[in-house]
Amino acid sequence: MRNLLKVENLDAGYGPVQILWDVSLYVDYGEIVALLGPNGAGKTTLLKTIVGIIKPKKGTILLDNIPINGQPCEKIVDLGITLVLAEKELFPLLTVEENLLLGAFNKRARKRIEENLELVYTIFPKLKERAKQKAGSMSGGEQQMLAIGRALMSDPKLLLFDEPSAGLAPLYAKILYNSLRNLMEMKESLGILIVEQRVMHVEQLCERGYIMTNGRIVYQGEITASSQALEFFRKYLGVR
Amino acid sequence: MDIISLIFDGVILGLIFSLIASGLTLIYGLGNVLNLAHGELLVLSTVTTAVLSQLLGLPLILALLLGVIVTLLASAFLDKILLIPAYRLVGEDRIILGLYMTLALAYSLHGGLITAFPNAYLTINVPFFVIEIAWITLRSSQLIAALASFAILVSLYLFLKRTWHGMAIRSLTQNEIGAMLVGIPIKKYRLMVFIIGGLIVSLAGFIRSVVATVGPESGVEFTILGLLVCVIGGVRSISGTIFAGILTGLVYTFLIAMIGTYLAYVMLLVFVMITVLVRPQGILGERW
Repeated sequence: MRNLLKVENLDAGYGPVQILWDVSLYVDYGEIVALLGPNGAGKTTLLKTIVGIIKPKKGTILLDNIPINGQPCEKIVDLGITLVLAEKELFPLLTVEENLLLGAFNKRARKRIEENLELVYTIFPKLKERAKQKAGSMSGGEQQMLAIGRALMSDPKLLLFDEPSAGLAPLYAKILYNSLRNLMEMKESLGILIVEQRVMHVEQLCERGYIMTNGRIVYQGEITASSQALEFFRKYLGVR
Repeated sequence: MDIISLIFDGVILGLIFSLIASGLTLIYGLGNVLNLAHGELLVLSTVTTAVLSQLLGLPLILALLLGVIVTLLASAFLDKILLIPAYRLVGEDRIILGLYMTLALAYSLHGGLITAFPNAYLTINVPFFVIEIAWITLRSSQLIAALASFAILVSLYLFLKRTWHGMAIRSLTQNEIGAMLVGIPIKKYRLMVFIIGGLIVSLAGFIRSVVATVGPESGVEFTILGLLVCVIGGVRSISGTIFAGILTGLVYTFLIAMIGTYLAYVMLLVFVMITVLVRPQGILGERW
């Protein structure tokens, strides 16, 4: 079985400060994988390293068995990995539609703009209603939808999510995760890696996951609320 | 005093200000560098053209072309070499180091140009004719300057609004990380913006040479006027910058006609201060 994403023995950090220590994980085609851990565990750093915002010090990152570590961010987006950060990082003065179109900036995605735009509008009908509105004038939940929609426009093979439920009302978080499930049904080969702090958000979505603390992977396996191993981490590491 | 012709002169001067300021705004918006050498880039192209056409006797078209090329090379040098240390920093640190570096370049260009070519004044003569529509009289030079500036600004606007490159530039001025996440190569577009800024400012120099004379010492004045227009227009806003340029040109021209050149400059600064106090977010607000 070929993995969609395979990270092996990765070390990375900011300048002289090393954050990630010997991190290994994989995501298969059609799989949603959770990455859990308390604040400051290095989860976001790992995602940023995979997309090339941070350069790895050691180790390999393989997409479809091709090494991509050390490549610039624009190259990695072109190869098929797109990251959605918790801060959403939209273009506030541009319209919703312009934001979505910019998502398809890479050459591969430009050929499939119409198809992908339709997909985004099917999953998030709200974005179609607001197409001509400025992105900055929307609510937090709608901005999160736009951030995900923009990522889908880049025609990714692998989506990385950094705490998509952060700052959202519980109802919105539920809607959001439902739409991710719909997405997986519509694009079967897509792989997703979701960073979360709370198990309850992802346990119905993911079968498998990892737990990270202090820059190391300390658990990998089943992610369910009843899992005993998870219960341990929940108590001692503050993974909720 | 002929009000119509004053208005026309003011609009032309304003369009030239808009050209200078739009490059400044783009470079600041995208690279977070306030280019204090921008007016010197204008002068660099007029001086090069003047030297080549007057001293060496090259045909004007060729001299103009070489003037543009020299300016573009200087812009690329500024982005790719001089500003390397600034780009290693972020936020205020980058802005401050960028100010030092561009100020240093401005001073060396200024000193070099006025010493080496003190007489390199550029005036571009266009075929003279006069157009009369009803009671308005226009000289050919005014008309050409106005149309050329207008055409450049419209092309710039359409480029930014309608093309992928333009969209990428607009997105980069709003959110660098967001642009990175959708796969926009930052360095490539930073260079592109420096080149566009350099091109527009050298064309602004030629247009100014059609209606007036541009000397080797006028770089500082153009930089300052360009900065004033940027501030009125709201940094990062192209439509605001164009509007502010025309407004500033009109105000300045009328002030000169009413109270003379020196006081007009002072009053212009007062006008800028008042505008900034009343509309600190830029004259048209935050928009593109």
